[in-house]
Order: sequence, then C-alpha cells, then structure tokens
Amino acid sequence: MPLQAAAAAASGIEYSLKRTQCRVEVSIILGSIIICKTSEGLQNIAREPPRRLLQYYKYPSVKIIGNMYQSVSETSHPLQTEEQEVGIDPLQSYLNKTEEGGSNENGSTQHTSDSAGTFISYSKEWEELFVNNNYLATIRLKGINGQLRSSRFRSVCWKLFLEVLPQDRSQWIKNTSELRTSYNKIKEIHITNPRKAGQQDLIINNPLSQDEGSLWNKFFQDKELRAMIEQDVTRTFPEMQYFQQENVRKILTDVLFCYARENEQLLYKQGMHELLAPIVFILHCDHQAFSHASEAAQPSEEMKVLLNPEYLEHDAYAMFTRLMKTAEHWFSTFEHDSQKEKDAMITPMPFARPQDLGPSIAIVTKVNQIQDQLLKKHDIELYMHLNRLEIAPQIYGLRWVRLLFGREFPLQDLLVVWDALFADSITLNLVDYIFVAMLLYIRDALISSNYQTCLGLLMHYPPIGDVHSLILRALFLRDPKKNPRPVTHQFQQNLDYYKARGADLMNKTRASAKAAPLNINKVSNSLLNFGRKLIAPAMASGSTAGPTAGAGSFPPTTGPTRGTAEAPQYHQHQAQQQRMMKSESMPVQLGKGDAPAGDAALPGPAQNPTALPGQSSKISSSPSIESLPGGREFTGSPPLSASKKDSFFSTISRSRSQSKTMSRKESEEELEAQISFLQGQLNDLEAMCKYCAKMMNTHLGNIQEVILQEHLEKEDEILVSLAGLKQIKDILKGSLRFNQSQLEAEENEQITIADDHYCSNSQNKGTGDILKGPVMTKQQLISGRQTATDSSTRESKGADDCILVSKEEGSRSAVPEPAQLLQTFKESAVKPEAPSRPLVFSDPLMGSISASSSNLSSSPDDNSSNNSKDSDFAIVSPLDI
Amino acid sequence: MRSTAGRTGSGFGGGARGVRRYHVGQIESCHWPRGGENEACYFLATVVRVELVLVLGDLHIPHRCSGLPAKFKSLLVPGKIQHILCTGNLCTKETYDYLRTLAGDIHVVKGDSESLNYPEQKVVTVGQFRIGLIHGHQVIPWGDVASLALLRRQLDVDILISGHTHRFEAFEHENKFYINPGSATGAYTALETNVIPSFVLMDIQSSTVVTYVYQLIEDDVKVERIEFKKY
Repeated sequence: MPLQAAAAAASGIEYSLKRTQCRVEVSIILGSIIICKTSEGLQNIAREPPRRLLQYYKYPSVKIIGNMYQSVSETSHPLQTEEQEVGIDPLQSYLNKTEEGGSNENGSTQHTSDSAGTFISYSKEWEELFVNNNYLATIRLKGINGQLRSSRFRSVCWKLFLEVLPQDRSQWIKNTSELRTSYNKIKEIHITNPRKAGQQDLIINNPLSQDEGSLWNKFFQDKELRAMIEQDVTRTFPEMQYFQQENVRKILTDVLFCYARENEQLLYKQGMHELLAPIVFILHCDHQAFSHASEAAQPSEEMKVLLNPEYLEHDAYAMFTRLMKTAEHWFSTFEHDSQKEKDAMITPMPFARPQDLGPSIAIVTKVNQIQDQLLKKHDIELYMHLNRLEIAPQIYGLRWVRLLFGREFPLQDLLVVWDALFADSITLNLVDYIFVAMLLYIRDALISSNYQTCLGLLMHYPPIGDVHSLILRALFLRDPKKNPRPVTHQFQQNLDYYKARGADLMNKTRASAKAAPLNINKVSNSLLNFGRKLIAPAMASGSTAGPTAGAGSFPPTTGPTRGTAEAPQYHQHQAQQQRMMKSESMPVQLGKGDAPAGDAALPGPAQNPTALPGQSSKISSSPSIESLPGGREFTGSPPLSASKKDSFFSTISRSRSQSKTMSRKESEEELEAQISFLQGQLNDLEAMCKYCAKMMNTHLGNIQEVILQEHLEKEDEILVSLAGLKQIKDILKGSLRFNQSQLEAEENEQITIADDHYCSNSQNKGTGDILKGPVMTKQQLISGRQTATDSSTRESKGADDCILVSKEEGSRSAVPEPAQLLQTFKESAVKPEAPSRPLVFSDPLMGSISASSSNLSSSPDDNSSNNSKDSDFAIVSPLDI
Repeated sequence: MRSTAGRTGSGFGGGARGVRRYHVGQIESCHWPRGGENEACYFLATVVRVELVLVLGDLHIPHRCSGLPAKFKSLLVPGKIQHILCTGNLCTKETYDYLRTLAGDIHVVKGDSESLNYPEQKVVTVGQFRIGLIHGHQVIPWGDVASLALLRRQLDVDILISGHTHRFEAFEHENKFYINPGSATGAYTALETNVIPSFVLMDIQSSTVVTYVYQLIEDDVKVERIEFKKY
C-alpha cells in the first residue's frame, strides 16, 4: 500500500514539475501542485532574468495561488509570451522521458531529474512519442496511464486519438493543411454579409425582410445564434484567465458557430462550449511550448506545421467536429421512435419510474442504461439506494456525460480523464465506466445520506484525490480480466474505512467541500489567509519541541485504552486524519525522497489517534513541557470540546515539526514539498475544522442545556465561558473572522492555559485531571477577561451567544495590550486556585472522578457535570478581582 | 466652401438654440470590440457590423389613426434595429413605449400635436454621420428645401431628418442628405390627399448610408433603396 501511495504521489509531483516547465498557466489548477514546481525552477534560477527570479521566490510562500492567477494573466498576454513561460528551457529543462516508460516507474522520475539532472530536448520528446513503428499504441497507453499529463504534444496525441491525424505520419502535413483549408472555406461560407445582396430584389433583401432566402434574415439569425453562443462562451471556465481573453472567446465562438451552421439539425446546444474549451486550451499550451522550443532549436517541418499557432482555430474545429461525431447524439434532443413514444405516453406502464416515461432522448437512454445496467451489476446496493430515493440518472448524469465530466474535475484532472477517454477509443465508451467509477467513489457517502445530500454530492461532485485511480477503476469495471484490479484498492480500503465508521464524517467533509468551491485552486481566500497565519507563527517559532511532537514519540497504547463512549468520535477523527494523511502525506514522502527522516516522521501523526498530536500540540506550545511527566498527558481524555480544539491546534504543532525539519535540511526541493504538503493539509484541516465546529456545537448545546436545568448559582460564569467556547467554535467554523492578532492572542492564551492547567494539574493531584484542566482555565480566562474588560457582557449571558461573541470581540479589541489582559487574568486565575487545591486533594469524590476520567469514560453529560464542578471553584476568580 | 459656411453658421446658431447633441456611438451594442480584430489579424473577419437606424414619425395615434399598419408591425421586430429616430407626433406614451420595445436607443423630437414633452430638435451621431432631427412644423415653408438647408447649416449635420408633411422624401442637396420619412401610419393631413404610410430604415456603414424606404402601397410593402455617400 505505501508503495502504491508513493507511486501515485510521485506521478503527481513529477507531473507538476514538468508542467511547470512547460507553462505556468497549466499548473494553476492544483494549488498544491503548483508549489511543488519550484524545485525545477530553482535550478533554472541561475539562468533566469531577475524578474523571473522574483517570481520564483514568490512561490514558496502560501500566497502562491494569488500569484498564480497573476501569472496566468501575464501568461495570456500576447506580447509577453517569453516572460510568461517560466522555466521553459527547450534544451535543458525537460525531464528524461524514458523514465516514464512504465507506469510503475513514476516514482523514480523525479529523483532522476533532480539528482542526475538529465534533460531531454523538446524534439527528443517528439521522437519518443511519435517516431517509432508502433507509436500509436504507445501514446494510447500513455494516455490511459495518465502520462500525457506533462506532455507538450498532448494536442498531437489527441489529434491522433480523435483521428484528425491519420496514423500514417507521412500524411500528417497534407491532412492538416487540407483540414485547415476546409475550415477556411466553411468559415467563409458562413459569414453573411447582407450588404453583398446590393439592389437585387429589394422585397426579399431588405433589412427587415423575414424571407427565408434573404441574406439579411440569415444575417440576423446568425447574429442571434452568435449571441446565444457568446452567452455561454463568456461563462466558460470563469476561473481561468485564458478564457477571459477576447480573442480566445472569439475563437470559441467562431468554432461553435461554424459547427452549428454545419450541423443545422443539431445547431448549438449548451454544453458544447465546455467540450471545445479544453481542446482550445491544450492547443494553446502546446503552441506556447512549441514557440519557445523553436526559439532555440530548429524544429522539424512536421512540428512547424502541426503546431502552428495561427491555426489554432482550425485545428480546434477539426478536433471538435471529430469529438462531436461521437458526442452529438448526446446533445440531440430528437426523440427516437416518436410514434412508439406516443403510444407509450397514452398507455404508460404501471409503476414506471418518471425517467422511463418521458420521451426517450438519446442521452437519457444512455444514462438510464448506465444506471440500470452497469451500476446494477457492479453495485446493487447503491443502485437500490438511488432508486429508492428516486434520483433519476439524468438529473446529474446528463451533465456528466454531455460535458464529458468537464464540470466535475478541475481542468488539469479533466485533461487526464480526457486523455484516457480519447486514447481508449474514439467511441468514448469508457465514459460509461468512468461514470460508474465516479458513483462508486462516493458510494458510501451516497448510501448513507438522504435525498438532499445525495443530490448535493452528485451535483457537486466532491474533489477527487487521484483521478488516475478513477480511470483505472473504470478500466477494471469494463474488463476485469484484461485490466488489473486497480491500484485503487488502497482507495477501496479507504472506502471500507468510511463504511465502518466514517460515513457521517464523510458527509461532513463532503458538505464542507460543497460549501467551499470545488476545485482546490478555488480555495477561498479566507482559507489561504488562515493558512498563511497558521504557518507563519509556526515557521517563526520552530520550537525544539516540534520534532518530538511530530515523530510520534507518544505511547501508541493510549489509543485503545480510550473509553467506549468516546471511542467512535476519536475513530472518526482518526479516520479523517488517516485519510488526510493518506492523501497528503504521499507528496511529502516523495518530496523528501530518500531522506529517511521523512518516512519516519510523517506517518507518525497519521497512525496515532488524533488526540495524540492534539496533546502534543499543547506541549509544544507550552513552555512548561519539560516539567511535565509525559505519561500523565494521556491518562485522561480531555473533554470533547477541548479535544476538538486540540486537534485544531495539533496542526500547528505538525506544521511546526515540519518547519523544524525544514530548517535542518537546507535543500530547497524539500522546502517546496513541505509547502505543498502543508497546503494540502490546510485543505483537509478546513474540513476538519468544520467537523470540529459542528461537534463542538452539539456538545456545547448539551452542556448548556444541562447547566440551565441545574440552576447553579454561578451559572452566569459558565454560560459566559460557554459563549467563549462558542466563539472558538465559530472561528473553527469560519463564520467568525480569524485574523493574525487574534491568532497571537489565542496562542498566548493557549500557552497560559496550558501553563495553568499543567501547574494546577501537577499541584492538584498528580493524576492529571485534564478533563477539568483546560475547561476550567478556559472558563477562568474568559470570565476573567470578561469581568476585567466589560462587565456588561455578563448581563447578556443568557442572550444569544452571537451577541455575546460580538461584544467580547469588541471588548477584546478595546483592550490595548493582550499581555496586560493576560496579566490580569493570570492573577485572577492563580489566586483563587490556591484555596481550591487542598479541596481537590482531600475530596474523595474528585479523586474518583479523576480516576474515572483516566479511564476515559466521558459522555457529554459527564463533561458538563465536571465542568460545573470545576467552575465551582474556578468562578471565585473573576469576582475577586 | 459650402461646408465651411455651414460650420460657421452652426457656431452661433447651434449654440444659441441650445441644440442637444447625442453621441450614439457609445451606446451602440457592438458585437466585437474593435481592438480584437487587429490583435487576431490572422483570423478571418467573421462578423459584419451592421447598424440599422429606424426613422419614422407622424403616427398620430390615437387621434388620426388606430395604429401602425399590420404589415409594418410584422416587419418591425426587436433585435434588428439599434437606434430609432422619431420626427415626433407620437402623441401618446403608449406609442413611445412600443417603439422602445424595438430598440433601446430612441430619440424623439417634439411635434406640433404632442402630449409629451420632447426637445424641439436633436443632433445625433451615428458612426461618422451627424444626423439632425426636427419635426418640421417650425421650418417655414413646410418641407421647403431652402429652409431645410438653412437649418441643416445651422445644425451642421450631414443628414437632416424632418417630418410633418406626411409625404416621404429623400434627396441629396448640396452634398447633404435630407430625409422625410412621411407618416408611418398614413395619418390624415390637410396638405395631402392620399397619404401613403411609410418609414425609412438607414443602414449606416463607414461613409455610406443606405436608405431603405418602406411604403405601403395598396396593402403591399414596397421597398426602395437609396444610397448616400459622404465626401
């Protein structure tokens, strides 16, 4: 399994590296991948003009995504072609393609490129791909294996797949020029100049004529059609700068227009633009690469003709028409056997499903067939589930098939899918199986969710980690005998994992994925900012505690000892974490390459239950770590809410450990790998935060309920503290803004909390009643701050916590120095604790609680009762001040 | 020589009368930005730009006519015409609203029996052409060429559009173009015995105006085409 994971990750990184060299804009798609690119770039820096150098230095920061878009806009500028092509060095900067030969060798590619520094020229890649007897079979294999990802001749490959180019290479030039001239003709035919009509027959040829034969009439019809096409074209890949350019839009419109005019029956249908856009994009990319390569070296005549940028539109048209030959019936809305349909409408079958009743449009038939036959065959459970929910396949499948999954994957992944689709066969029959594979990928989530969630999942397909696994699975589904069981069995395992425990969690992450934009490159700014802040302090304070935290130095036995009540929750955590690590740790392991430390350190947190890194984070952020006996940390389980917060903070510790290793190893390459890893982690963390926030919410609700029922005398303080926790929850959820100063303040608090908590712990009983510790101090902190800064806040404790939070916010910002605040708080917190200490020691009840808590049985109710007890002695503090 | 004289005339005449000037060029809905064609010069020019200006007036709805002839109405569909120049006497807001459905850019001047308030005269620029618009009852004698020429010089326009006579006219005079679209409804007027419903459509190209005249003669739409070139 790890081997496969490594291989998959390797291909990812290798891809990104090469991609970078070719063109910047290509790599914008996957945020994390982009960051990897720099390693190659850094090698080039020596040769780069200073401006490019600057660009490179931008990359290691997390700001990258912002810059990426900038660079895209730069790239797209027609006059800047030379500047934009970061890292294109036609002679040197290309990786050794031979490494790519076997699909399993992917992993080694990157290392070779880095260490040996073997480069191969542009033309060599050409030769690799096209100069041998059986080249077509080779590139087909490459296409299916996702190895065209970084190719600079993808467009040529696609042309071959789509049979735009004949297999006979000697015919290429002739064929291409023929197609181009034919397009010119087509285009000429379809330009209507109404003024050419002149004076002949004014009754027909006048601007207001509605005669069929009128040029004017045709002109206005064309205009209407164009307007319709343009409407869609302007919305094509709105996230990509390239498609915002006027001339690109013009190309898209013209091609679609010509196609529509050539196929009057079909005309233009919405969605066609989504098929055309990737074609135009890869043509453009290849042309860019070519123009760069041709600057230095003399390209062959073939290349010159095939990759002539002037004929982008012509080639796009040729490829598009070929593609549409297969896809057109998916767009047609003609009813087959309308007579038969009419009969069916009159006497509908009893118990017929709605999707069977409507007119049988080709596409609907197709998706129905996929669901009714293929899905039924491969996953009857999912099939039944979808049927039970009455989710007709055309609801989601129409778009999937029509756009060839264009809206379900980010563009880079989409191109890989298309590589496989086209390479497989021009009939695109792999579509059905990818369809099913996609359903299977989210099957557990689907099965465990209701109608609404299902629809959400299907309509906003969750981001997929490794598209290639999807393709492999599709191949396997189609022909289990010929194709090996996909490498995805690691993924399968993942699914089982979800099946067992994480279905609910899965929903959560999916939901969060839904809330957030689908593509990684569309990661919201807030997350980026958040990430930057999260990393920044970690970088700054790469503490010595870092490595210990990350290396998983804690006894792993603590996991199993956990109480049953809490176990599922932890497992969910664990599941999530593991999943996170599974997907995210791959690039890092790879990035680390041969470094043995990488292997040792990284899987550590993955295998330990989440709570452990959580605890460790506390340690690493706490100055009192050394004074703390390690074992005590794990005897008790922190209250749920605290653990969630911990897991949130664990990320800091992890990133800290990362930064530590980073500082040790000076190699830049690792640095980028680290960043990419962190980036990926951030993405997952966001999901985790959301989950934590939700759980926190429910448990806080429970606590609050209980407290309100109990009518404790110091209820106010508890409620105020709860409000504080709710604020944290909101920060986790992201609904509350989280900025740098807050983070610092928060961190400081965290330190203090830990401080007090550990001190009190060691002083208190030595058994480490962690359960109480954090909560108690937290309450003290918040209530202390409350009273110190804004006593009026407390009056509103019963009120909506939102108001409370906002007030607290205000009061916090009103305080000039957080240190001051902390000072006051500390005084307040420590003072009242002194009398409480003997109380705890002497109290047998408390002792038993601590004992029981070490056994880790803590339901939310336990928590709340504990909390209230804690607060009983803690609450004195604010009043004392 | 004449044109210079006209220009000086407009210097005081136009200013004193406070003629409103409109530049249509900015409002027009252009298909492709002009810059795009230069950038991608190796692409074929695909789109022909057409600007159609509908000229009509003296509808007198509902006082003298119930509405536009059905044949005209079927010809006039939205989406084709960019600008409408109306010589006035729409009489009601309903008619104005109808014209608004045909094109977004509409310019109306005040007629002699107008219920709404419009400016007395307007100067509109379409493409390279300055077009003067007036109802025509102010020009005495009505429809007189010399008087119209005087006004044209004052406004310093290439094309002068006037109405009021309910008789279609389009002629070139001193290298300038004069258009009277007649009455679109064929409304009654004291001066004409047999009013033919008519309107005019101008296809404005770079330096040429092709004028299509639509007349309803015995329930048939007749179209004429007149070309005017600017020197």
